[in-house]
Amino acid sequence: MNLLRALFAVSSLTLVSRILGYVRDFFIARAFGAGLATDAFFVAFRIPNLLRRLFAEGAFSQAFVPVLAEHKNRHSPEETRRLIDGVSTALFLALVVTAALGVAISPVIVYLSAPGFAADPAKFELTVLMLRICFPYIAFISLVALAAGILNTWNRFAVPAITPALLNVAFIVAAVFFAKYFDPPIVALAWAVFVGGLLQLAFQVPFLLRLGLLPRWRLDLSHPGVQRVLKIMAPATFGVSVAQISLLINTIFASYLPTGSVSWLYYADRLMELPAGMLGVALGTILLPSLSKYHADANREEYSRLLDWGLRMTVLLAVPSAAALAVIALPMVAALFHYGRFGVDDAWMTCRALIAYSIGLIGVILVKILAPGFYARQDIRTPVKIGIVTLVVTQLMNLAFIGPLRHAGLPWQSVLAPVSMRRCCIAVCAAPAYTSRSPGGRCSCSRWRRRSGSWQ
Amino acid sequence: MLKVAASVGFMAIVLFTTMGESSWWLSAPWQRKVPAVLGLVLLGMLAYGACLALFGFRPSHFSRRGAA
Repeated sequence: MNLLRALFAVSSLTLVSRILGYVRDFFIARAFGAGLATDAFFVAFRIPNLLRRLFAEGAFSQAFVPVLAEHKNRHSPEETRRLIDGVSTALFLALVVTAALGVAISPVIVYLSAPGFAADPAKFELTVLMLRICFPYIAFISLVALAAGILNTWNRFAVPAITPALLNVAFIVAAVFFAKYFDPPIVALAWAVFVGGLLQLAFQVPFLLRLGLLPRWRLDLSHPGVQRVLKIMAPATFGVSVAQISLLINTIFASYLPTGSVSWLYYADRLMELPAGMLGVALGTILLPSLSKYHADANREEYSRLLDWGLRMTVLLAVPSAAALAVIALPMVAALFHYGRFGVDDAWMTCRALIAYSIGLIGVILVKILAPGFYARQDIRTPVKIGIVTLVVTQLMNLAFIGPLRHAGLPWQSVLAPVSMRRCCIAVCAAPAYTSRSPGGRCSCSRWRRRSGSWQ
Repeated sequence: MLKVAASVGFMAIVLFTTMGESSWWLSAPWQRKVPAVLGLVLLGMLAYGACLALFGFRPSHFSRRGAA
């Protein structure tokens, strides 16, 4: 198949989905502004979203897709179907239990993830109500991840790429047409999460049917493929959990800040995500296969040169992006969010958070470039170790900055922590052959890399 | 690195001097703000690219082969 064509199709559809995401935020900001209700919703939505990143799109996909691809290549179609059926049934049962448990203990979850909300009973109750509505989303979206894994393995990349757009459509329809029928109106967004998850799952079913791969009920935990998926999932969960734990602790800190803080941070983060996603994810995705190949070929010179190129691209593209984001923070916030109930004060507060986030952009992108350097060498432990160090550093920074800077203090840990992580990464990821010069001069990190250990 | 820093500095000055008053951004309708912010982004890209070009950067320097 033509990989370049597939890459273009997937990138285009992902861009459409991202643009729809900004349209969604525009309507949410206009309809609900930034206050008690939006704070409650963003916390309620963050919890199933965190579980989604941790298990569905994180550990589960990382474990399931390689095992499925291997089965597809080495075993009969019937055996591959048995794997899909076994994994789907086990996943479905685990999800039903998780969703039911989540709905039942929602007050405890809200208390643990946003303890500051307990001081305001109205905010706490609203968060619990919306979390109960949102929680089944984890079940829908995990099944969507399973379906996406199957479709991607059969080279049907376009369907999984456009699927997330349906959640954004559900949000926009709920904010524009249905909010007035709910009391309080923000509850419409919680139902949009539920419906959006269901729509995404329903959208993928016909494509699975067409491939003859719609999972059937078959409980077989002793199947070797199912056992392998479960075995791989444990370390993979640990690997992706560090970043998610950091996000969760940030929410705990933000819950103690004045009403509106969670929302200001959310809107600023959404603006920071555009360059971070476009540069960091794109470069990281492109680098990983080539780095893996050079590592497998023991071609240390090309390996170092490719990593060097990635770091130079980061300096050339991320530094101006970060500077531009900081300088035109207010125009961007005002153009995208300052309408309807999103007031002048909200715009300035979001602007402050965005300026802090923008300075951290370079570090955030650098981490996404350097991480494939480890994954290419099948070294999962080092990024986890660095992640734990970073987690401790970020929380100490939170404690230091949240007092004087309030909500704008939380992004500062994302400014300084990736810098410390970058230094750790560079020190560990050292390559003795790293001496190449770029047109803009030697990359700033060459000193770090030459100073430390060996390539292997 | 110095050339990149100088280009970023130049771009920041261009953006800062052309973005106008904050009061305009907080009162204008979306039909004027959205094109204006897109124009600022484009202007920033042009300013940065032009400055890099003056310092001797060429598009080939961004490719792996050219950079090596």
